[in-house]
Amino acid sequence: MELKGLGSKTREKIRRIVGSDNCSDRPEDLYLYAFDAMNRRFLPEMVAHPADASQISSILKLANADGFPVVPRGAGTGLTGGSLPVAGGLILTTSRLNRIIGIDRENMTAWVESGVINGDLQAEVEKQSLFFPPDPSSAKFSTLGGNAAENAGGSRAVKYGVTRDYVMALEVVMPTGEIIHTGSAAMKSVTGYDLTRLLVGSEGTLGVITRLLLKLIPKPQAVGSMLTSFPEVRQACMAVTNIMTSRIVPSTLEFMDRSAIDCVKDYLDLEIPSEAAALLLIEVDGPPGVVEDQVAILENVCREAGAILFQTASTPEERESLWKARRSISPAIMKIRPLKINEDVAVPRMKIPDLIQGVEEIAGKRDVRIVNFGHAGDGNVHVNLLIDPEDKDEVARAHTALEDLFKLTVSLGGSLTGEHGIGIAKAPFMYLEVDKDTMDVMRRIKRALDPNNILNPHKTFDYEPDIADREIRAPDA
Amino acid sequence: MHRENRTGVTFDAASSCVKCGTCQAVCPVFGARAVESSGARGKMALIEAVSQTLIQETGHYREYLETCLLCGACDEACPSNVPTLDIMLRAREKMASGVGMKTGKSLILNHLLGAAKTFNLAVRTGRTLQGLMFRRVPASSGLRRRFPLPLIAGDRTVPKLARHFFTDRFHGLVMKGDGPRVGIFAGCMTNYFYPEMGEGMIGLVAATGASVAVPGKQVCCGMPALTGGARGTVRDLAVQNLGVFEKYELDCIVTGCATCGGNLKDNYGPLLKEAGIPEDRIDGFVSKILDINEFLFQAGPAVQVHGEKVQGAQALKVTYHHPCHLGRLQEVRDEPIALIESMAGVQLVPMEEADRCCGMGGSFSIEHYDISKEVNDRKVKNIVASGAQAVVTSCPACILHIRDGLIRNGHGEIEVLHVTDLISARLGNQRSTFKVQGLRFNGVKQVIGKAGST
Ligand SMILES: Cc1cc2nc3c(=O)[nH]c(=O)nc-3n(C[C@H](O)[C@H](O)[C@H](O)COP(=O)(O)OP(=O)(O)OC[C@H]3O[C@@H](n4cnc5c(N)ncnc54)[C@H](O)[C@@H]3O)c2cc1C
Ligand code: SF4
Ligand code: SF4
Ligand code: SF4
Repeated sequence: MELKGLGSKTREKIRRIVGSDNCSDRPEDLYLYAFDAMNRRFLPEMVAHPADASQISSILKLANADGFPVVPRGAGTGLTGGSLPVAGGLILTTSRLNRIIGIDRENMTAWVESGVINGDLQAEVEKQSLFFPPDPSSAKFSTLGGNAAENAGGSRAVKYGVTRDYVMALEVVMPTGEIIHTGSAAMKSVTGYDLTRLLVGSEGTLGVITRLLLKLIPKPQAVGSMLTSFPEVRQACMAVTNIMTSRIVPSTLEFMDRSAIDCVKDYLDLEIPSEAAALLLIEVDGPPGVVEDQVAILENVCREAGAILFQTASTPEERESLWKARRSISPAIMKIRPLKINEDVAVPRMKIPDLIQGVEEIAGKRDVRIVNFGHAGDGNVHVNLLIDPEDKDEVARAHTALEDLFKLTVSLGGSLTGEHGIGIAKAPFMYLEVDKDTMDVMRRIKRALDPNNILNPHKTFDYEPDIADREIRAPDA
Repeated sequence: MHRENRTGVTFDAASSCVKCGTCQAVCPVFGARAVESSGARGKMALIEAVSQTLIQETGHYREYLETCLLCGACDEACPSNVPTLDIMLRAREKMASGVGMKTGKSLILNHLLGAAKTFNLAVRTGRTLQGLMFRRVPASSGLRRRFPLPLIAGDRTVPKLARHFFTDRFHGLVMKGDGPRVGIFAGCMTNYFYPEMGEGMIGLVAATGASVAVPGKQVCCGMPALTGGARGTVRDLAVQNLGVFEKYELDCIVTGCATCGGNLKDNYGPLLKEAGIPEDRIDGFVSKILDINEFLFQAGPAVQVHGEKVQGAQALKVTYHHPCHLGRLQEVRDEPIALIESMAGVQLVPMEEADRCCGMGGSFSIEHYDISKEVNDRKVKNIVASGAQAVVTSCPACILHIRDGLIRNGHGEIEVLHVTDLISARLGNQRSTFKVQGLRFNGVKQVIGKAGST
């Protein structure tokens, strides 16, 4: 079916479904929902904030009947353009699906609506000494529905896994409008296909998640934080390996390379040795005594690997000052160049040194400033290309560097994206990692569930370079 | 905080926002209404679209820009150092100069600010109509709507206009001491609604041995006009204030209004420069501005309440609310805390989200009273959860709004005090048990007398 623009009759029907207070096609509102954290702009034709699954179901049925695209949107913090309306149509937000339905202390689960902010759930369950581990850096402002749709990770993934590992069951509105229920409240369930896993990470292309049953765990009693630095990247990587084989699983194992250290140096309360080429931020959690012992063991491990600095924190303030190294990267980077292209490639843990070295070579060859940091514990490195959008030549060089980076990653047995998703950002490169037949299976699944291709079209394998023409640009640019 | 030199911030700086969304986590308005127009990210997107002439500055753009408390939380949280607060003010200015202010707003502005005189007149007239604008007027009588006054929104509890305005009662050199010469910048709220707060301030400043002057012809700091985009008006007010304060050859100028302080410290420099005032004169004014907490903290023992520190049932439990324009904008956070903590008979109990906006935001609470109430309800919840008998803060506007919220939520028994109220009362009332109820100012003489004897 050919997708059309939203006609006036269709708009009227949408108004009737969600109420005219909960939708808009005024120009201001369209500009308010034209972007996500990828920071590109595509205008939708209308924005709707439905109240529940049944309204969403009516909208999706209408979309099939009248032929218009529907793009689900959580908090719009996606970094790969997942919620951009690249083909126009309707933006459908989950902003009103914002209730924590219930926290079950005994079974350690929580039912939530998909528009609940991750951090709000974390705060709520922690009041009951429970813990929701998935903690993307955007936790305080991204939705659980969006986290599930992107299968978001975060710095605790090294010990606790990613969003996928905490989703037990879903209520989903299918692209054709049926409201389905996947998974089970039982800890174990193998009844039928695992549709939960299919939908988690589907980037809003296979269904609109309206409710999630999430698994909780007991809240760790204590946390031990350490910051350590090494004169060589290789030593830091050796420390990472030795930590992971020391039979201690850290809850955080973050890495920063020399360029990242150089960026943040001025922001820190503590002195980083000038010869430091790599920095690790490590945390362990558990019962207080155990945490203490583990910190001592890890100090040994790091020193043996060649650590030239080992700093621990015993108060929340000290912990914050260690984390400052990690948290200041973003603002510090902005001082170098106004724009960063943030890639989140993942490689097998042992390949991190090769990746870092390769990236350094690319940076030199293409003459682009590149800063690396990220989740060393799970091999997910954030490679940041710093560019000035005004400098057209630099932009072009960065794009070539990007392609080099993806090729390098795949050659190391890695993945284009560890947690941010494909969206439109990485779609042109997906072929590097996924072979033709595998891609074709994905296409067939999509076609089977969304025969009219109304739900979030032109994302991931369905990408069309032509969409760039619809992007909004400043008139004079 | 990155409020370094911001005079050069322009309207098009909005495009430096990378749309990460971090600011939404701290935005009180977004907390109440999770739509893009609430937070700074959406506002940056709209301002960007206007600066690129993609949309007009009419209708909803205006409404959305004004749906903001100007609390600065976004500005502080932004990892990309986007000066959101300044950009939003610039956008309001541009809007005001272009298509004119919205009627409601310009009405308020005319009443409030056209000139200080006009304001005085409006408020004076208001006093005679006072009986007609509060809750006791039955909504059905229709009287409420017939006498709309600039500061009064719908069904809120507002303080009574003072019988005698502060600057009417006190003007000129009101106390002569051996110490430094200190001027009082009252601010409108103190002047018209809470003159006893101003009296308390005179008493406390005098207790340090300073000479105290209240320049009589001082006018509003101009913040409401600035948020309304009327930069030209504020410039005039700034010049007038500079003139009246200069005459007194002061060593410092203190204010008990967080918003005034923030405005005088941050905005007067550039404003006076625009008005063609030479640097040294500007510096002679702006560099002398101190919040009353800074002043008292520096003044030390003379104004500290001595005596035994008590805990538990013996003590008056208070909690502290950080006014946005004091904590965030002026970074005065430790001083009020230290002053309260040093006080005998008072126990400071922590409050969650103590630095989250109370929801007042100047005219915001008039135009968006519904959102303002919701933001305020969260503050009230946190205050009540703290278990405090009184909430202390340091801005008359916060006091007004928090008191309204406490009463609205059935917690009228919790007192709302300015730091200076608390200190004044403690200095004048050194009894072992502290009466929250009926706490009233004790009179300048009494305070000084007591302070002198300790
Ligand atoms: C500063 C910053 C830090 C970040 N840190 C991390 C990090 O550490 N780890 C990480 O993994 N990611 C991170 N991200 C990326 C982003 O926050 C995550 O991808 C997040 O999961 C997106 O959630 P959202 O609610 O913003 O979703 P959106 O951006 O609104 O949408 C993302 C995708 O999910 C779809 N979607 C949203 N809601 C639903 C729903 N209810 N049903 C179906 N589909 C839906 C959309 O169509 C879109 O394709 C970060 C982003 C920022 C800006
Ligand atoms: S100033 Fe306060 S209310 Fe306004 S957008 Fe920023 S955080 Fe929100
Ligand atoms: S935090 Fe800063 S950069 Fe991020 S969206 Fe808000 S204003 Fe823009
Ligand atoms: S800040 Fe508000 S109350 Fe204080 S003087 Fe200015 S306008 Fe008046």
